Amino acid sequence: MSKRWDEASAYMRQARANHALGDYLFQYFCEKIIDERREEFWCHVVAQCQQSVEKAMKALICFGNLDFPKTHRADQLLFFLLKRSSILHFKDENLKKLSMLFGASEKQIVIQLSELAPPKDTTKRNTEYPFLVGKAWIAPAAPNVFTLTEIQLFLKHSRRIVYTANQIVSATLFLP
Amino acid sequence: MGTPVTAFEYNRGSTSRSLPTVAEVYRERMKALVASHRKVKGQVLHLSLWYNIDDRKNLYLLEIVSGFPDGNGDPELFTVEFAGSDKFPMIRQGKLFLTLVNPEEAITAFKDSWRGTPEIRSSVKRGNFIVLFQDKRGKQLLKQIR
Repeated sequence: MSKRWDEASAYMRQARANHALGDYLFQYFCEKIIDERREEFWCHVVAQCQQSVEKAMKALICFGNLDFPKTHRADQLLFFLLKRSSILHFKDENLKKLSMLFGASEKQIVIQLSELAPPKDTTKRNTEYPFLVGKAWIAPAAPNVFTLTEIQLFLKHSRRIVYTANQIVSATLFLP
Repeated sequence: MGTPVTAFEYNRGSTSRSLPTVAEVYRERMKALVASHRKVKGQVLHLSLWYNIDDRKNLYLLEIVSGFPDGNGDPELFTVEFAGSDKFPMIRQGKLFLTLVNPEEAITAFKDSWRGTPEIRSSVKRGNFIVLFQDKRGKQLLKQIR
């Protein structure tokens, strides 16, 4: 078992909780809120997807007994992890699962989610702070900042990442 | 308490002489493996089903465990492949295919025929399996698999 099993488990739990909240927000506001207002909540759904993926990465890094870099960007954590996969305490077979988990579409989603994290650059679309488009300030909660298709894709892939990572870590307890 | 691993049943209705080699070779090791799974902290093993026991090379183990995380939303059972180690060597370059699922997901998976379930069900229907461990809930789950 990993020396930092408890820490990894705690990160994994938090990742699942973030994803569950994102999922709940999406389900709830899609059903209960009138059409014109439901998009106000989509930036929060994306933020939860972002958080869940970041924490799942941190859980995997902890599980490998590594110190994670000081960043909140999930893509940097992902590349850190992939570069060091050989020193992770995963069996080869799990690495195969991991490489499937971080296939092209998942990598792309992790990059996209990281790009949407609150930036220093005020012209970038993000999930939290108003940003400039030309001369107009746009709130992340404004209509059309995020699309329904985009939200569904983020939810689907972040779930894939978080839950598969969780299963991989738990499965190592059962391997001979 | 569940069925002790020492009292597992052979469901092929045959003597140990007619058991496939893979079952003979791995019987003790599989029992030990399953015994160790019963001690995993925070997880409760309900059913440990060794299926496709007539395979000449690979081991197929389904374990239904309370506390094992939910899947990622794909209708597919979670299976890890294990190619062997010093502690658990594999013969003929075979692999251990370990499928892990929690009871709630197991019920959905077999009800909705998720990927990975038909071959388990078919193996069970043919009597081509060994129950290495089951508790009361595991017995009920096995009935549902059948």
